[in-house]
Parts: sequence; structure tokens; C-alpha cells
Amino acid sequence: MLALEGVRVLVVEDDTFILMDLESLLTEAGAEIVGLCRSVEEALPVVEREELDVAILDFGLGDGTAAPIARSLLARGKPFCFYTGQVANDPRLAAWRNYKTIQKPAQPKTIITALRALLTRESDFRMDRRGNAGPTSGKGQRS
Amino acid sequence: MDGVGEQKEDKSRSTPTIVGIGASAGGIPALQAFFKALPADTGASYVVIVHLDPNVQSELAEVLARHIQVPVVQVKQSERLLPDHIYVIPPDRRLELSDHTVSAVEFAEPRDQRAPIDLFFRSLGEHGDGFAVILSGAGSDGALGVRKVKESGGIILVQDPDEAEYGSMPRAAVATGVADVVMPVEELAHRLADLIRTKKPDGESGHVDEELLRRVLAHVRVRTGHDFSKYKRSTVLRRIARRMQVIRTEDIRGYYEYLREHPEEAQALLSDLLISVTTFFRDRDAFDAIKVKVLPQLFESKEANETIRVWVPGCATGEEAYSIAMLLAEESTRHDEHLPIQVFASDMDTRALNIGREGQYPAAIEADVSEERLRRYFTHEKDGYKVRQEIRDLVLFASHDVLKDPPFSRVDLISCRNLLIYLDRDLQEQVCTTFHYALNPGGFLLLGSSEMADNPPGLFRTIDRNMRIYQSSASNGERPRLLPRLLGNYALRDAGFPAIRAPTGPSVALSDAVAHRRAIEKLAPPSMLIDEAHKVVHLSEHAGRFVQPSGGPMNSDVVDLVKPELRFELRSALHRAFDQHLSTLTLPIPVRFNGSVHRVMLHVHLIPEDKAGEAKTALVMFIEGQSAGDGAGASQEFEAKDDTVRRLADELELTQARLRTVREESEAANEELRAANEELQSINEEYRSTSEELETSKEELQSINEELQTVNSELKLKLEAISRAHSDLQNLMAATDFSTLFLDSTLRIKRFTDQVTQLFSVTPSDEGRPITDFAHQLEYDELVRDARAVLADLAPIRREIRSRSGRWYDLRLRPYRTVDDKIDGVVITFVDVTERRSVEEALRGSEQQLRQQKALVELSRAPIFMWDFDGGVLDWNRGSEELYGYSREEAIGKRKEQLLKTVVPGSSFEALRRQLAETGAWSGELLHTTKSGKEITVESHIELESLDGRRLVLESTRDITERKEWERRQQMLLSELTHRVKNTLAVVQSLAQQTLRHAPSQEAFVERFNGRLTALANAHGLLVQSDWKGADFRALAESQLSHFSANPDRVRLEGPPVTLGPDLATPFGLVLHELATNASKYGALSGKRGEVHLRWTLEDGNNRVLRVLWEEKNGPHVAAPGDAGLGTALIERGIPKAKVEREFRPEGFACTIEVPIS
Repeated sequence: MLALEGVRVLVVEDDTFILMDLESLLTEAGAEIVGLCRSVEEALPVVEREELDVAILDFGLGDGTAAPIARSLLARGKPFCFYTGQVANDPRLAAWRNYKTIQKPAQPKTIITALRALLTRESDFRMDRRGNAGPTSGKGQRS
Repeated sequence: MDGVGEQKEDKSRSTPTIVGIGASAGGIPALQAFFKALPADTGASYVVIVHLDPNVQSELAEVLARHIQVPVVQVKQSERLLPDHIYVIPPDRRLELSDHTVSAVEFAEPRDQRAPIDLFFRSLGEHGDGFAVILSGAGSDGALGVRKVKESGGIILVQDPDEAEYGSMPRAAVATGVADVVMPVEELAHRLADLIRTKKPDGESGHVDEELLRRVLAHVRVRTGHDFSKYKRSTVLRRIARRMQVIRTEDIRGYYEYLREHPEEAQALLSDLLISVTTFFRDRDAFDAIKVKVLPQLFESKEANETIRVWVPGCATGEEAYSIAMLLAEESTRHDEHLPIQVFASDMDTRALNIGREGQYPAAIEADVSEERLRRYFTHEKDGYKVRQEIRDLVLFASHDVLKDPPFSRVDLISCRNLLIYLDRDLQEQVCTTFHYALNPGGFLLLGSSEMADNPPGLFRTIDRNMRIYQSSASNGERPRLLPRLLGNYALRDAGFPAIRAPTGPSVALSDAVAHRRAIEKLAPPSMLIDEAHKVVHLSEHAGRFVQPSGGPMNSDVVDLVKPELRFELRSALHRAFDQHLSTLTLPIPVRFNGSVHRVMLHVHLIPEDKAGEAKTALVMFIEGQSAGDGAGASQEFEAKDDTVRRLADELELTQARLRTVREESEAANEELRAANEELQSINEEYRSTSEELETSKEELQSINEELQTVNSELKLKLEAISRAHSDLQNLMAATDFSTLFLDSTLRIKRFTDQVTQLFSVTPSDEGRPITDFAHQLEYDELVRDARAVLADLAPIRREIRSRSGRWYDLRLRPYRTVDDKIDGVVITFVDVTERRSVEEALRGSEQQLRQQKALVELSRAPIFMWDFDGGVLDWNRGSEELYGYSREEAIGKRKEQLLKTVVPGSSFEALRRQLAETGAWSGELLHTTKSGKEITVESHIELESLDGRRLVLESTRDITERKEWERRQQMLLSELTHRVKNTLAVVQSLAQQTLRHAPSQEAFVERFNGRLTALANAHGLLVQSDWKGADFRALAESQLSHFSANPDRVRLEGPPVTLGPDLATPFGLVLHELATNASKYGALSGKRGEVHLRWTLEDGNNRVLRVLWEEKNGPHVAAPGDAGLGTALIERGIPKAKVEREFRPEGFACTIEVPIS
């Protein structure tokens, strides 16, 4: 069985090639891509709309950051990790240093392992979305 | 007093009497009223002196003439005085009188010192007697002149000061005490007319009743205690005549009556007798002679501190005494030694003495005293001049009669001018003797121009005969001197009855008289003085022998008193004497005396009468012969009786003889006792009068004693105060650290503090020596010059001088002022200011340094400023102005943290202050806001300094904003670079993985991966060129396409300049690369003729859209590939938000890409 068999993943990445590469990588790992987004504006409706299991976010998006997306995910108890080229001491990252961050570039298996680990620790995120509970709805459909 | 008046006696007889009238302010109405009231026929000449403006014609003569009948003349040059004429002074002239001619003379004095009334009165006085009238006026002109007139026997009339419009001139005249008549002006005129009428020419009273004159003088003596009987007769007569005139008495008897009825007249006559006129420096030549011939000798003969004693008897109002005092003071300044000077000025006239003591003289003395002396010895006061205290201190005024009182003793100089001329020769001799007694050996005597000291001879030798300067001929050691006999009151009284006693010495005369009387008594026969009624008036010494009163009641009839044998003869003889005026000498009459019979003759004389009407007296003399012969016969008779009787008779005779001897002895003794008694009685008389005098003196002494006690207790209090002050002064002198030196006006050391000995080589015994004698430690040679300058200018001098030992002194010279503001030397203080100077120098040095440092701070571009820990900004340099934009004026006083909005990162300003207060320093980064609102970061160094309880904070800052910014940028760039590198690596990784995924072989992978990597690198290269801002589309296309075709014609580019952002440039680069790769593999560029046409357009509008058209032509036929490779995926999805359409047309592949660009 593939590492991410049936896992619904949101990918947010502003670089076309990396986005395409992540798509290939995750698809090959059995994941179902619920969104390939290049910006916050593209990603937020996906978060609201799709039942997703996990998200991988580039931190720096154009002139902004992925923080609004992360906050939206947190609000829904969805686990996520950052995949970013930002240096670790970037002040914009400081507020998120308790969350999983994968430094670019990373081995494909590192990314896969990280996402798997997030899924097993889903409860951590769920504890954070108190007051917004509810059973995960069934498998979403591809956009 | 001089005798000029007497010489003019005869002239005034034939010429009119002269009346001088002085008036000034308010004088015209007074003159008019005066002349109106004056009869026109008085026969006198009137000379009117007023003060006139020298520059204006005088209308006075015309004004007066309007109301008066007598002619009024203004004196032109000189006018012979005529009776009943009025002569008026012309402007700017004074009038002089000589030989009955009045002349106008120019003034010698400057305008403000003129006293024309005085000047005229003086010349009137010298001319002879006359009348002086003072009317209304201001000032004191005339006051000196009236004395002169009065001295010459003139009469002074003064308008009542209360009536006068200006009372000051009349008041001054009255104050001299010589005014005879003071009344309102009209009465004054009437009185003057009376006086002129009754005025007798001098000398007419030549036949004076000597007895009355004696009585008048006796009366004056009794009333006033002054005896003028030995004054020159002519002078005395003249004064009495003047008084008679004033009280309008015709003869001396009437005057005597008046004198007895009016006690005050005695005083008035005394004043007249004493009147004298003296002036300052009278007889200038005499004073010059004194100055040259007497004073230097006087000073040289004295040891240090020996007092020079001068006596001026008859000083009157003191002018002469002051003149001599001034000469002495002047002479004193010429000698090094400062000798004390004492001038005794004495006179009988206490009123004159008071004037002298006061020292206040009218302005007219300007004529006698040089301007320099006036300035030096007088102060200008009221209307006149007052002798300065320092001269007044030299002169002591005393009431003293040179004839009567014991003289002052040990005197060096006597100036007695014009006193002897008033005395007769005897008194002159007495006074000369007195002077000789008073003078020290070699002492000087100055007399008036017509006096001499030749009698008694040998007392004085002449120094200058013309100037009447004499020197005592006594030599040292010729003492003891005898006080000459003075005219005591006793002597004066006796001198008043010359008929009783010969003018020989009283005690000698007394004993002679007794001896004579005794001799006469002894030798002359006993006698009796009998009056007409036969009463015994007087018995001679031995006349009692013949007296044997008869029994019965006591009868005073001489006939009943004498022995019975003599009675008959005496009676008949007395009858002959009184009735027939015949002397009788009787025949011898046997009279029994104690048993023996003596023959006695009576001699009766009628005494010739001195004056008619006097009682007749007769003298009865008893001339006694030897005992009668019958006595011898009787003894013989008894001889025969018996021996017992004889023996008894012998014894009796013996006893009788013894008795006779005893009686004679007794009589002689008795005689002596009588003489002694006589003498004792007269002595007793003297003692009684002396006793009375002593009683009076005692009372006076008691009152003086009381006064003295009061004065003494006052003095004691003063002495205590002075002692206290003195001890204070001593302590002050001892306690003071300053050197203080007191010098007197001749620069002799008076006193100094101990510290002075460090500067001058003086010891306490040097007090009194001139300061010039001493060497000193100061580099200061002008000490003496400066001290003199202080004495001269009275302005303190201050200098800083150095001593030879290098110390500095603040030297101050100030005049020494006595309590009564006399300048009596110089006070010099030396204050050691060495330390102060060195401190000052150090201070100057540090001040200089400080100024330099301050200038450095000010010049510094670095912001440095100072603020009060508890307050605002205190200092603000240029660097601060430049950095913060606030000018110095804006910054000072504001609180620094408010001005600069200080923010302490990670802390607070309060914490900073606390640390500053604890450790005194702080340094670190602060945020400040400038005036323009820019926030800057500064590196600040702060130090806290405490100064005088104030906490000052020094702060220097350095602007590090730019450095911080650069660091931040640097950091950011580094992060950016890392980020980009990581991203790029991630992209490369993705490309590699995807390429690998689709690569059929390893070779193919390498080729494709290399191509894509190159495309990526080219796009990056362009972006780097533009600093990652963007890449031009054409340049991007060329960089991707150039290596696919060497021929540029096969690839044509066409489109406007478009810049792609970094987010598009890289994907576009790769897309173009893929398109070109496809074209060279399968499309138009794969063959030899194919072309690629790349066109692009930019649609403007709200959304700019880039439309890119890739068209291939003339290539091989292409068809859509079966499976979509990575290239296709890249083309279709590689560019975000792009719309991509691919067409496989028959003529070639075409691709349209539409992408919105911002």
C-alpha cells in the first residue's frame, strides 16, 4: 500500500515547477490532491470547501505568507506543515515555530514521512479547533 | 586801638561833623524816611554808602534829592565835604575819606568780596570821630567798620532790625556790641540831629573837675572791678565825653549823677573804655618781621614735644591771636618736628572774648586775609567766615586783666600791641615787668608801633626797633624771678585816697608814719585840741598828766578837766584865743604832781581855718619845766627829823626814780603797742576786705568747682568710653591679620599693627619717626609720594604691590579723619593677597582651558548636550542642533526626554534614570525623535555629575540609524538570498525529478535536464541583471531561442517592450525553452527552412494582458503527440494563470499564451 493512499492533500506553492513536482510526488505516493494553489486567494476557498486531511504550505507566497491559510486550517483542526525556503530565524516564521516546517529543498521521502506523521498526530490539531468539531465528512471529490 | 584820633582833634573843630550812612537792600525807603525826618540845618556832612550794581548808572542821588532840601551830590572824583550836603557813592567805586575830602577809589577786591560800607567806616574812623548809621540791608557789611568808628570816639546809630525791611545788616552791627542807639529810622534821625547839636569838639572838656572824674572812675571800679585811674587821661576823657554825648548830658557832674542812677551805664562806659579794633594781620610788615625774625628761632629753640606757648594779652575779639596762630601753623609745616602750639588770648572784655571763641567773622575780613589763608584756615559759613577747628584748637581764650591778675608763665612769645599806649608810665613799667616775668629766658615780646619796652631798663633787648620786637634779656638759670607787684584791689583802693597816704609802699609808709608820730609825741609837748565850746576834741599822748577832773558830775569842759592850778590861766587864754584870735603863752605855774611841784606853762593857739565856715579849734600845749626848788627845800626840812625819815625819804626817792624809769619804759612799750595796733588795724582792714574778696572768690570757686565736677564726671564717662574704645582698638589691632600703618600728616609713624614689622623694619619704639627713615620689603618706591597725594587730594589710593620675598599685597592708602573731620594723616593697610592671586591665576588657567574645551565641544559635530537630572536641558552644542534639528534656544530649558521623545528599547527612561542615579553612568542605544519627526537610533553615553547639589547629566549621542538600517538590510538580503537559493535548488530538484520521471534514457535525461537547467539559468541571469525586479520579454525570448538557430531570420521576434515580473519570467523562460526544444526536435526548426515567428502584444485596459503568439512555418508536418510529456505539461501549466492554446496546423505548430500581468 502506498504511503498516502487515499489521503486528501492540499498543496499550496507559488513556484510552478515545485508545485508540479509536489503534485507528481504526492500522486505517486497515493495521495489525492484536493487543491494545487499558488496563492492565499486560491487556497482559502479550497480549505473552506474541501474535506482535506492534510496540507503542505509554502510559507512565503508572493509578497505575503501562508499564515491566513494556516490559521484557517487550525480553525478546522486540519494538520499542516510548512515547506519553505525561509531561513529558520525569519521573524515572520517566529509565530509558527511550534508547527512542522520542512526546509527546502527536501528529499521526497522526508516530505512523505512528515505528512504521514501529521496524520497520526491529527489529534493535536483537533484539540486546537475546539467548538468547531464535527465528524469528518466522507471523501471529497476532485475539483 | 591806636591814637590816630587824637592827632586829628584840632581839625574837626573847624570842619563839619561827618555822618557815614550805610544801607543796602531795602535801604532806599529807609534813606528817604531818614533824611525826611532829619532837620536841614544840622551842619553835618552826610556820606551815603550803598551797594550798587557796578555796571548800571545810579539814580540814587536824584531819588534822594526829590524829597530833601539839602543838596545831594554823587561823588565823581573827590569832593571837599561841606556842611548840610549829602554825598552819594557812585557805582563800582568805594569812598575814602581824608582831610575832609571824600574820594571815589576803585575796588581792589573782586566783586563778590566788596564791602564798601566797612571800607568807608574804616577811613571815617581813621579820620577822626564821626557818626556811623546803619540802615536796612542784607549781609553784614558795616559790622567791622562801626567798631573802628566807635574806637575813634564816634557814635553808632543803627536802625531797629525789626523795623528794617532787611534786618540782617543792622543785626550784624548790633551784634558787635558797639551800637549806641538802636531805634526806628525816624527817631534815629531826630536823635542824630540832637547828637550833632550837642557834640563838643574833642579836648574842650580840658578843664575837668578832677574830683568828679575820680568819682566816676571809682564808680566804674566799684561796679565793674576795673580800674582806669591809671589809664591815659586823654583817652579816658574822650570815652567819657562820648558817653556823655550819647546820654545827652552837658557836664561831667550830670554824667556822674546819671551813672549813679543807671547801674547799666557803668557797663556801657566800661565797654567804651575797652573798645578796641583789631584786624587780621594788622600791620602786615610787623607780621612779616615776626615770620622771619621770631618764629624760626622759636621753633629751633624747642625740643621735640615741647609746647610753644604764646600769650596775646588784650586780644579783644581774637583776630590777632588767630593771626599769630595761623603764622605758627604755617611755620610748623616748615619744620620736621611737630611741636604742640598753645596760644593764650586774654582780655577783660568777656563779650569780645566770646566773639573770639566763636571764631565767626564777617565777610569783610577778606580785605585782611589772603585768599590762600582764607581757604586754608576758614570755612565759609553764613554771611562770613569761621575759623577752622584746627586753628581754634590752638587758641585758648581767657578772661584776664594784665594789670591785676597773675600772668601766664613760661611763655615764649607775647604779642601785646596797642595796649601800653592806654596806660600811664607807671603802669607801663608794671606791665613790662609782668611780661618779663611771664616770658621764658630769650622769649619774645611784640609791641604796637608807638610802644616801647625800655622801662624799666634792662629787661628787654631790642630785636627790631621799627617793628617793636623785643627779646627778654634774662638768660637761662637767672631764676628765681619775682612776681611783680600787681594792682590788687587793696592797692587800688588806697590809691584812691592819695591825700591820706603818700604814694610809697603801704607797709613802709605805715611804719614811717608811726615812727614820726612817735618822735613828735616824744619831743613835742603834750597838747589838747579844743573846740569853740571848750570841749576836748583830742588829747595827745601825754596830755593826761595834766588832767584832774573836779568832783561832781562829769563835765566835758576842758577848764573843769585840767589840774586846778591851771584852770584860771587856761580859761582866760581860751577866751583870748577864740574871741580875740590871739595866742597866749602863760607864765610858769607851779603844779603839784604826786607831791613834787613842777612849773608848767600853757601855750594856747587858735588853729587857722582851712575853709570858711569850718568849726574853730584851738590847740593847748602844756610845757613842763623842772621840778620846783621847794621840793629840795622840803627834803632838807625833813632831813633833820630823824634817820628813819631820811632813810624812808631816800627809799622813796629811789623808788620814785625807779618808778619813773618803769613808767618811761612802760610808756615806750605802750607807744610801740599803739603803733603796732595802728598797723594791725590797717592790716585787719586789709584782711577784712581780702576776706570779703576771698568769700566772693570762694563762692565763685564753689560754683566753678561744681561746674568742674560736672565736667569731670562727664570727662570720666568719656574717658571710660575712650578706654573701652581704646581697648577695642588694641584688640582689633592685635587680632587683625592685616598690616595697618597710621601716619600723621608729616608722615611720621603714629601706630602700626604687628604685621607691619614684616614689611618695615620698625619696632614699637619707632613711633613718631618719619616713615621715610625706614627700609621696607616692598617693591614700591612711591609710598611717600602716594601718601602725600592722599593727604593733598583726600582721595584713597589702592595698589597691588609685590614684596621682595615675592608676596603680593593689596595696599590701600586712605586719609585719616579725626572725629571732627580733620585730616590728620594717612592710614595704610596691606592685605596679603598672594594666595588670592595664585588662585586667581590658576583659575584664569583653568578658565582658559575650560573655554577651549567648551569651544571644542561647541565645534564638535558630535551631539553633546547637558541636562539637569531634575530639570531641563542646560546646554546644547552645534552637533546636537544638526542631529536633532532643534536650535539651542529651542532646546534649552525643555525636558530632554520630552523634547527628544526618548525611548529606551527593552527598558524605560525611568529605569535609565535610576541606573544613572545609582551608578553615575549609562550607555546604550536609545530611540530619539528629531524635530522633523524622524525617529533615529542613537548610541548614547550618559554621565551624571554632581555640582553644588545639582545633578548635571552630560550626554553624547551618535546617530546609528543608518548603520542599523544597513544591518537590517544586510540581514534581509542574506535571508532573501538563502531563501532564493533554497527555492532555486528546490525548483532545480523538481525539474530534475520530473525530467527524470519522463526520461526514456539516461542520455535523454541529461540532455533535457541540461537544457532546462540552462533555460532556468538564463531567466535567472536576466532577473539578476535587473536586480530581480523583472526581465524584458524580448531579451528573455532571445536568451532562450538564440542557441537553437544560428540564423536570426529563422526566428523572428516582434512585439512591444514588456517587462515580466520574476514570478513570470522564469516560467516563461522555461515555456519558451520547451517550445523551442519541441520546434527544433519536431517542428519548424528541425528542418532546414522552417521559421518561427514569435509575436506578442500587450492589451491595455483595466487588466493588462500579454498575448504571445508562437507560430511555426515551413516545417515538417506536425501532429499532436500521443501522450502528454513533461514538455507539454510545462507549456500548458507552467505559467500561472495563463491561458494556453496549442494548434497543430498544417503549416506548422502554433501556440497562444494569454497571461494577465500586473
